[in-house]
This record gives sequence, C-alpha cells and structure tokens, in this order.
Amino acid sequence: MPKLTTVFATSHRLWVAAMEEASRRGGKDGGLDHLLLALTIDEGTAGQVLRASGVTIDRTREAIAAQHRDQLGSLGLDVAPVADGPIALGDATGFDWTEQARGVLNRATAVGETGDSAAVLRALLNEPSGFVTAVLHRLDTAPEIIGELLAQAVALPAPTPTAPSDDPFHRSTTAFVPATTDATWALISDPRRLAEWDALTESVTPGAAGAWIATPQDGSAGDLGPQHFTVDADESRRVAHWTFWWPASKRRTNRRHVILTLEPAASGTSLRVDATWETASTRRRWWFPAARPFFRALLWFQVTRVATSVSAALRE
Amino acid sequence: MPVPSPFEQASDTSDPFAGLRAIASLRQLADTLELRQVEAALRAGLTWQNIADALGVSRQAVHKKYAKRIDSSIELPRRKSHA
Repeated sequence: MPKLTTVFATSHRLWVAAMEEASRRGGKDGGLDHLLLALTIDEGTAGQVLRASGVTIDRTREAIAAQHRDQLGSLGLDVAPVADGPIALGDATGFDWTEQARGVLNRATAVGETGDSAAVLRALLNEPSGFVTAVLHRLDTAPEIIGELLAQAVALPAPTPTAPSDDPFHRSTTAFVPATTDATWALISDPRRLAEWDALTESVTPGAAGAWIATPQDGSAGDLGPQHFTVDADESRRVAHWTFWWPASKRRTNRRHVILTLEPAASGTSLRVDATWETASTRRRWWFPAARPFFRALLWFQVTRVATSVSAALRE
Repeated sequence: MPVPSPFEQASDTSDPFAGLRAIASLRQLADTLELRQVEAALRAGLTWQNIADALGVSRQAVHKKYAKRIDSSIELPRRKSHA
C-alpha cells in the first residue's frame, strides 16, 4: 500500500477509536491515553503485539484510570475518576488530538517512518512525558519489551496481500473486535440490533416477507426514506449477509450488500466487512472513469464505518 | 510522623517532572468538567456571556473554545434568539 494511503487509513482508524474512547467520559480531546487505547484494538501489527503482551483494552483502561488517580493523588486530590458512559457513536463534533498526541502522530509519519500503526506505536513508546511508560509498568510490561516484540513482528515476512477487487463497487476491510466470537455473532446476525452499530438507524421494525424496516434518526434520511433490509445469517460459517434497499427513495438507488464474516482471534474476534453496490445496468457512463476514485473512497468509508461501529458497540 | 496536609502534598516540588505530569492530569480533568458545565449551562438557557462571566474570561474566548466542541444537539443561544 502506498505510504500516503497507509498514513490516511491509519490516521482515520485511530482517530475514530480515540474519539470513541474519549467520548466515554464526555471528553473532546484525544490524548496519549486515547491513542494507546486505540492501538490496543488495532487490527495491524501494533494491536497484535500489544494484545499478545497483555495490553488489552480493558486492562489498559483500568491502568490509565489508576495512573491519573495516582497523579492527582500526588497533588493531594482524592477525586473519583469521571464515570465512564457509553461510547457516543458517530458524534465527532469538536474532537481533536492534543498537542502531545499530534506530536506522536507526526513522528510516525516522518521521513523514514512507515506511517502505519506499528510506526505510531514506536513513536508512542518513546513519547517524552513518561505517561505511557508509567501505564505500561502498571500492566507488568515496559516500552523496551513492547518495542522489541514490535521489531520482531515487523521483521517477519508480510502476508501476501489479497489482490484488490476489480469491481469498482466493491470494497472490503478487516477489523479487530475486543469481544468473543459468540458475542460478536449475536450482534451482527440479529436484525433487531442494527441500531446498536448503525448510527443512522433509530429503531428496527418487522416488514413484509421476512424483511425489516430501519427507521432513520431524525434528519438523517434525506430523500431516501426508511431503509429496508434482510439478513441471511449462516451461523456455521459465521457469515451474515445484509441486503439494504430504499423503496420510498425519491431518487434512483442501488441495493447495497454488506457481508460480515467472523473468525476467532487472540483476545477477541477478527471481523471482515465486504460491501458491494448492485449496479442496475452494465452500461458504463462516459464520466465513470473519472468518478471511479470517488466511488472507491466512498465505499472505503462505508466498510470502515461498519467495522469501527461493530467494534465500538461491543466494547462499552 | 505527621501526615502532610493536602496543600503541603500539592506543593511538594521534590520531583518536578512527576509534579508536572500530575498537573497534566489535573488539566485534563478540569477541561472535561468545564466542558460538561458549559454544556449544562447552555442547556439551561444561559448565554455565552453568562458562562464567560462565571469563568472570568471574555465572551469571545469562551465562544471560540466551545462553540464547535459542545454536543451538536444543544440549541445555541444565538439560534434561539432568531427563532
């Protein structure tokens, strides 16, 4: 993957996860603590190394809270931490990185660095405040140990990447979900639980002929109207095939297929998301080649949003 | 051995690096609580000027800091006056 694409994809993934973690306490600043939490659920090498070292999201949340509590205690303040609430799905209003976190991300994308999640973790392990070191010590590890494991993991031959689909209306992504495969399957195979991972859906009601109707959040439907969908869940293969369409739409729409596939992974589940738009006609319009990058980017955002939302719904 | 008072503990400068990191935690906590209070104030119908007066800063400063950070569902005072 070209470096620019890697940097963009990594930044977006970490930004969403950090924002969700910050939202649990009503915060709008993504600091070093939120960046570390985002890396613990990263699908790439950084996340795998952290989880294999016992730096899981639940333990890290506790260690961060304890570190802040002790630091405040050193100032003579005995304050209970701000209570954690649910993750605010999709509310990105006003969120931004702190100067410290931005410094780490800048170092991860500097000349000679790869810009992927491993580079972000390398930069985070060397952050100068010592906060991350203190948190890792609470988790019975240290930056040097994680750094060594990361160097070994990065040196391993990379798996052969799957050839990208030729279909401009198909994109896929994988994500780590910090929950058991059973819990993840219970969420992604149940049509009534769509609102838990689709920020645009308010509620779900049964429709005709085995279909379901998703009532959109206020103002999110535009001229599309309610979204209808079916779910074909194959539990033995852990594959859930969702098909969406908009029968009341005032403009022409295509059916959208979202296929969610689960595989067990260390400390959680690996989720693959495939999204495809049906095309009504095989005839391509003259402007299609110019619009191709736009469609690819749009689909990339869609599959990424589904993957991060499922992960967020299962880590409250 | 007498237990140091909270003020003595807070004023301990024997390890300034750790002390500064503790201040960063305090600032993060204060920022989180301030945002909550500002959102609660706006929901209760207070104006940006009321909030600025309470915080002891200018209206422009508080508006610049929070206008784009508050919960998007909050009806802002300016929008209300146009309604």
